[in-house]
Amino acid sequence: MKTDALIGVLAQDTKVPERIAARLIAAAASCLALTGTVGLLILGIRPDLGQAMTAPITAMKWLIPLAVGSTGLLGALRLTRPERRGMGVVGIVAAIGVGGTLWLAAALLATPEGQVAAAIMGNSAFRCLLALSLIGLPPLLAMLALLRNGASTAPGRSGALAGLGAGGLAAAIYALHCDEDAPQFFLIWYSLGIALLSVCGAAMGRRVLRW
Amino acid sequence: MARHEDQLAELMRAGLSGDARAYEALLKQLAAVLRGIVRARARGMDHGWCEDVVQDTLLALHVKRGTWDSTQPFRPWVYAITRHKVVDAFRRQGRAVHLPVEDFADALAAEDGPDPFEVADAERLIDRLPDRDAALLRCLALEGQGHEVCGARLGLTGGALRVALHRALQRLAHMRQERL
Repeated sequence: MKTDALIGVLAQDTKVPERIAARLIAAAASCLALTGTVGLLILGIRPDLGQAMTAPITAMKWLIPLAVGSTGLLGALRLTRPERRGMGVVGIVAAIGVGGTLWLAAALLATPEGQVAAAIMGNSAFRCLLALSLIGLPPLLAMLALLRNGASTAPGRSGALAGLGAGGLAAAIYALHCDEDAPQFFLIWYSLGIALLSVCGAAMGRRVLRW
Repeated sequence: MARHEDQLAELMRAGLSGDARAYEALLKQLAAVLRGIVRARARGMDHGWCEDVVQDTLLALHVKRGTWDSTQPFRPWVYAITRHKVVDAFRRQGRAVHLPVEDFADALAAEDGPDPFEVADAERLIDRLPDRDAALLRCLALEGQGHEVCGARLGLTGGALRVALHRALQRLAHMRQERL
């Protein structure tokens, strides 16, 4: 096929390409609403939710995941444009990570010796990790499917950011159930759950977001 | 005569709003630029291979055109897509390629390169598409027939033909990416 012939055919394809952003957000939101509702129906919502959301320390169980989640989502969307590298977004996530790590270190240092392990493990570490991953995985898959319409020149990073988006938002939903309010607990396990989805997203992104 | 950012962006805007003629003019300009860029770096590779890379890049520019934000400059977008495809094509040959943004800007401002060559590879790939996609692309591209003739031959109305063409090109782009 001559290049001119190819160009001729391409010019005949006048179907206007769909915009990714609106569809991606809608897909992520509806998927999360579904898995989140199922998750909370099974697990239940903590009874003292109003109190927990207004207390400064426990409010962080929503604020930090929401910050990470929205940054990840925004970053994945930005990276659908080939000229974007997404480093600004990565910087924001790194800053949140450093802040969380410092807070965790301070909390662990302030924990009386002998109670550190109990504070970290709480009563529901495994359930937290499992529920968070299960709530976040379907939205992550939906996001990756739509991101294939994008043109990321950093597919691994795109997938990782989508994972942070799905994981962060899933953690904020799981926090509606979880009544473990020790920073030593939620800083570790929420972060691990989000990181797990991010690593999954990066691995899948490298495979499915190539073009 | 320098090609101005505005002119290329205008052609793309017109193309995205359905002006096939403007879009074709844009792709022809870009094809010439791409050809120059690829050939200048392709020591030892034949012109057929170069033209394959040009076609891959054009196809990518086409199927990814929705990722250009028309409020943003056009050239950085073209450059990013081109760089991605050209670097990838050379990497498949086990070669690294240097594609600085300045060279690209110079090439965009230069005159057209020589005429395109026939490429066999693209036709082999068309054969591997689903039957109807292959027949449609053959009819439109290789035989150069219009929508009416091809639509009548394949039993597709205008709207259905547009959708079928859109999908066939997406599949072709995907297949070209996966071929090695």
